[in-house]
Amino acid sequence: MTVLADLGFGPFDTAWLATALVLTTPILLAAVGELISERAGVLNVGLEGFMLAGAFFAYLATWGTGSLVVGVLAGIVGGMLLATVMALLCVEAKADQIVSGVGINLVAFGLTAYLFDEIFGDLAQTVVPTVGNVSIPLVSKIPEFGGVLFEQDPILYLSFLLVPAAWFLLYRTKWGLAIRAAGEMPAAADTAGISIRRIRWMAVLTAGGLAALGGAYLVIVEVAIFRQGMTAGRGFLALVAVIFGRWHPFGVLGAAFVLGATDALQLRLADDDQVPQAVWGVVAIIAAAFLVHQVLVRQRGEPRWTALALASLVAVSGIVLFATTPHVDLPSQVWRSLPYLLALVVLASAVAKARMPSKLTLPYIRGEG
Amino acid sequence: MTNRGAAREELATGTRAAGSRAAADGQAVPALELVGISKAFPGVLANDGVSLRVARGEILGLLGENGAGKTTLMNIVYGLYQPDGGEILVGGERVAIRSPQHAVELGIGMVHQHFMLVPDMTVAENVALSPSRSPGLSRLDDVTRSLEELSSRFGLEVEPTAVVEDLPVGACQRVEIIKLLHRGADLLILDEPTAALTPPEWRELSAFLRSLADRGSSVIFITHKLDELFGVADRCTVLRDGRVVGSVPISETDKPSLARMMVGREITLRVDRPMVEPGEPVLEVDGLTLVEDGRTILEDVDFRVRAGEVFGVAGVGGNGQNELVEVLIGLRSATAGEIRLGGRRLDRLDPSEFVRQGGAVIPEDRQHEGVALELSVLDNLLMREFDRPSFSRWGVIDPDKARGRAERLVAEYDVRTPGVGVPMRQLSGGNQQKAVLARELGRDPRLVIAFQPTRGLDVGAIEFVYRKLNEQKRAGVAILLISFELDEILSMTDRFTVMVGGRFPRVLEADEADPETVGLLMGGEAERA
Ligand SMILES: Nc1ncnc2c1ncn2[C@@H]1O[C@H](COP(=O)(O)OP(=O)(O)OP(=O)(O)O)[C@@H](O)[C@H]1O
Ligand SMILES: [Mg+2]
Repeated sequence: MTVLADLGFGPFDTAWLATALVLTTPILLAAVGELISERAGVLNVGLEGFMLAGAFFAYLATWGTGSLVVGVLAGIVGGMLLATVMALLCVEAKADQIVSGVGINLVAFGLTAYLFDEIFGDLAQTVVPTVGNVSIPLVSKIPEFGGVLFEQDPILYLSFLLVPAAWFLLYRTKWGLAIRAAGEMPAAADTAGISIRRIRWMAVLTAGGLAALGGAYLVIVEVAIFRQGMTAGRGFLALVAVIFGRWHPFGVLGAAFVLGATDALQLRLADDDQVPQAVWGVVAIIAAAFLVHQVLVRQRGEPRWTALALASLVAVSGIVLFATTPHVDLPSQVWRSLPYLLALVVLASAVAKARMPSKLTLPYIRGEG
Repeated sequence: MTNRGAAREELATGTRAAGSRAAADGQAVPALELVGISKAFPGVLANDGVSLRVARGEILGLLGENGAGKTTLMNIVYGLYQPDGGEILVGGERVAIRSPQHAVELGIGMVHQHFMLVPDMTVAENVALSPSRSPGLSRLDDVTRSLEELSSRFGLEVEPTAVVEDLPVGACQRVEIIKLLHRGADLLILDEPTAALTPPEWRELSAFLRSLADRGSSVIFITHKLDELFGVADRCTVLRDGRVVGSVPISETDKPSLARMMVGREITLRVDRPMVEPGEPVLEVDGLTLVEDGRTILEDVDFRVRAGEVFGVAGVGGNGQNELVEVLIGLRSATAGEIRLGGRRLDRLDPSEFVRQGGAVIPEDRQHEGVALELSVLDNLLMREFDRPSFSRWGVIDPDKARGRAERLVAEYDVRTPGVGVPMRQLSGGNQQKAVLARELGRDPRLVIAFQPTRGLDVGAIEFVYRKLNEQKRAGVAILLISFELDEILSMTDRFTVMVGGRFPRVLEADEADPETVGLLMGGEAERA
């Protein structure tokens, strides 16, 4: 547990890493589904609502049947039902995606709160069973990291495996071609004989199902209870992860991890007003990683001198601060978001060359391309 | 009525003297028959009771002015639009073609007028999008191999791993054709597939279409280039304002009478070049060089365009024309060299400076660079001059004045549209082009860069564009005309050069040039490539 701490990384130890992975999982699940949906041209602002529905129905079914498997499935089905509403609105009726998504969120929040009150109103808060950890033979015995990385719950493994799976789907299969075409140039897919309706339906249902699984995860892995609005913005964080992840599976993984890791840091250091030395170190590392990335991955066109200069400045000052450890008192809310802000800035500047699917949020109408 | 009678009689007697079996079958059951197809859009009747037949083994040319309804009709056959009335018979059977998938199942394939390519995918991925037997994996290796084979067989050069958005227009056109060839079809519809092909590519394609027809496939071929039609079609049907005005065997007609049928009036296919005494140089380019990714795209290009002169750049597409235009208008920065417009150096990458200095440009790919499809005709016409005090004050636009100006432009440039408020995408391709012309020429420029300005225009509209350009020339505007059509260069320009591999080997006076000399200069490229 303490190798990292011994090296001077303070709060960034293996316990932090383990928490970070668990907190990343629900965001990652929702983000991977949303990635597929957005590549097909549908933006689900209602991702938060899908998650909430997943959390509630997973709780309800697990409580009712005592079976975690039934619980997970019920959660997924709940999210997909809501996604069906979304698809009916946006794919069939060609309604505005953003307005529909906001509506989905309101409905999900109201409905789960209402049902929860109706069903559990008079009962004491019942705790449901949670999914246990599975340790993977051999690798879980690796000192320090084995236990953190390979002694986790199965849904966590699944969520991380979904990333290469989504990559394979998008870039190596006909389905992936069709999905990308549906978001980029639906007329081309349509005239090639691909049904845009079908692709977008599948995409929205995938987003609904995976987001709901993320919501279910909160209940049956993390907290074992349901609370109103318990997703607490994770659906929106997943939307952010897709944008900062540049609509690419591995980018989305990186962005989701940054969000999860920051969350974990906040949990570990609830109220410490002194900026730990390690924070400066991490700032320097992130800035340096950005520099290396910029130099290695040669961008098209002019090098971005201002970005490079800024990153160098941040990296150098990070190293200086790390080495000199000045006594800096900042409200913990401020400094704890520092690595988070920086990482997002780094991702955002990489986004400059990334592109949103051109037809995102636009309904497809034949002859109007 | 008489035309339809003639068409039927002509079908009965067989289309080509040699086309024996195929045509005989065709007489029994036409591959495609349309009966009284109608389609209305808000404000326009795009097709008005259109009937036509294509026999098996026949190549039918479909002609008509811009906006006559050709694309609409073919989109109906391909299942993209549902007709308001009429019947479609495929192989003698009545069908309601619900979707492109359905059309594909019926053996119909189509090359669309506007590219149906996903810009951020590679050529191979675009081809792999089309349905084929292997479901699951995209099998890009197989597609790549078959692409290489197709492209060498038909002389259509495509790079399977190239990303479509980096390709010049000519290459996109080849990709579209290859897509159709790869998929295979019994009834091929080609909607202006040649607007950006080179003559040798067209020769290969037409020979291939002929061989397909001889094997019993049918082809509907839309073009504005009458010469092409005479090389390949058996028969041709002419549309005007959504109605069929005639259908004639190609052997019984000639260019002037087809042109007359299309436009409904006598039209001159040649324009007279006005003689204007050239003035001061307006555009001066010295030693312009562009190197990208280690490739030399432009090499030491020098030229001058003087006021009241049309300077031409001939040459096969893809020899750096696109890049030259982008550098001139400030979309790309040159590696070396100097550009002066009206004596002022343009050295920063800045398209708005180009416009402020009186530059106007008619781009090659109007749908991507020329117009904003979602905006109204009015916005498109005035987007370059909204800041003029004549219709805006402190940044607020006076809607009446703007509308008045847009309506005047629409009338002057004969843009056929139900109104200036409709979105640009509702206009036919040719009319979008006229709108670009109206915007660019309508604000009294000093220099006009016209890059393939007549691409996709009907004969009447071409005549019109030439007239407008010549008017500008008489008014002392400097014109740089870049065109892949040799005829256009020879008839319009005062001096011209041939662009070969990013260089201008020699400037010719229009009078000393003849097609042979130019052909030889252009041929230099064929050897180099
Ligand atoms: N989606 C649409 N909505 C409204 N009007 C349309 C639409 N598509 C075409 N039109 C109108 O229908 C008419 C016929 O257009 P169409 O594109 O079929 O012409 P075309 O013969 O192919 O012309 P071109 O040679 O310029 O391509 C035009 O007046 C056009 O403005
Ligand atoms: Mg057309």
